[in-house]
Amino acid sequence: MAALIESAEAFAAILAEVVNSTVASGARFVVTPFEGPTELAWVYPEGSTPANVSLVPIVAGLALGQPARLWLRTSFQVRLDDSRDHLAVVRSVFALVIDESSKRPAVRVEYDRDQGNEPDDVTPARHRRSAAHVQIHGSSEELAYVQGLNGARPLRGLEKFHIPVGGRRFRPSLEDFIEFLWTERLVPGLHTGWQDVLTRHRSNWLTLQLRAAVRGDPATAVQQLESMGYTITQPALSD
Amino acid sequence: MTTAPMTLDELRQEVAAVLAPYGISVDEFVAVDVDDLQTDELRDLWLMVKGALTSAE
Repeated sequence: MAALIESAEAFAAILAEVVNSTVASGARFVVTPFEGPTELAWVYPEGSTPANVSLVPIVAGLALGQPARLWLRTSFQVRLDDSRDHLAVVRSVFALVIDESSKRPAVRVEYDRDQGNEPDDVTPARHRRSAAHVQIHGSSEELAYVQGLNGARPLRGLEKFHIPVGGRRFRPSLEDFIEFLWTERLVPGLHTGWQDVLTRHRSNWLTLQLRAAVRGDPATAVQQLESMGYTITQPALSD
Repeated sequence: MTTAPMTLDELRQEVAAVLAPYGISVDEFVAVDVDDLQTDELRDLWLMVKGALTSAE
């Protein structure tokens, strides 16, 4: 558990830096280890419990003292991967929330490892949704029309559709989500210097994901490197 | 910062408290698909506790 906690705390520090350098101020993220049959932990804003995740007020762009009108929901369930060398996100949610009391979201990005379709699944569509997906809360006359054409009943709201976004390796990061909120003008502003923080952490995220992709498919990595002129020596087989 | 660990019993109690107004038991809750849940509150709860609660089954 010590290794998991250490990795999760490092992750929590990154989350705090990302949100406090962009939309929030003074937010802290904590780690709650699970003392149960499965070794896992939760990473979420201070004051949260697994059953009640605290929201992060979005204050960037507001006048000093002006109360937040939007909130960021950010929570993760994490564990060590099978090698026990790397932190793996099991489930994550980040969302733009429009009502603090009901925690009603406008848009959210969810990831549910091993419980949804992945782009590299041998058998497609084994699950009802993609593991990494976006859900937008609202209505779409066009999608209602399409459902009607296909005889779907009852008609589902827009938020019931899981729009796939890249799978476990290339799903959007929290940095991507915050950038989306800003570029689409869904938040009032970001703190000065936000670009450097997002770029640095997103670059690290992409490197981690690429390393994980190589671990998952070394043959393709070797093939690509050899095509570029590299000479690869296979590791000795262990007993 | 790391908080005090949460035990399985504590987690079940917390989840049961959230579920009480809905008239759903913890075991019923973890058995359903997340997309069959009717509220965002239950959906968020399911996503955060499912892995911990189902491991005990």
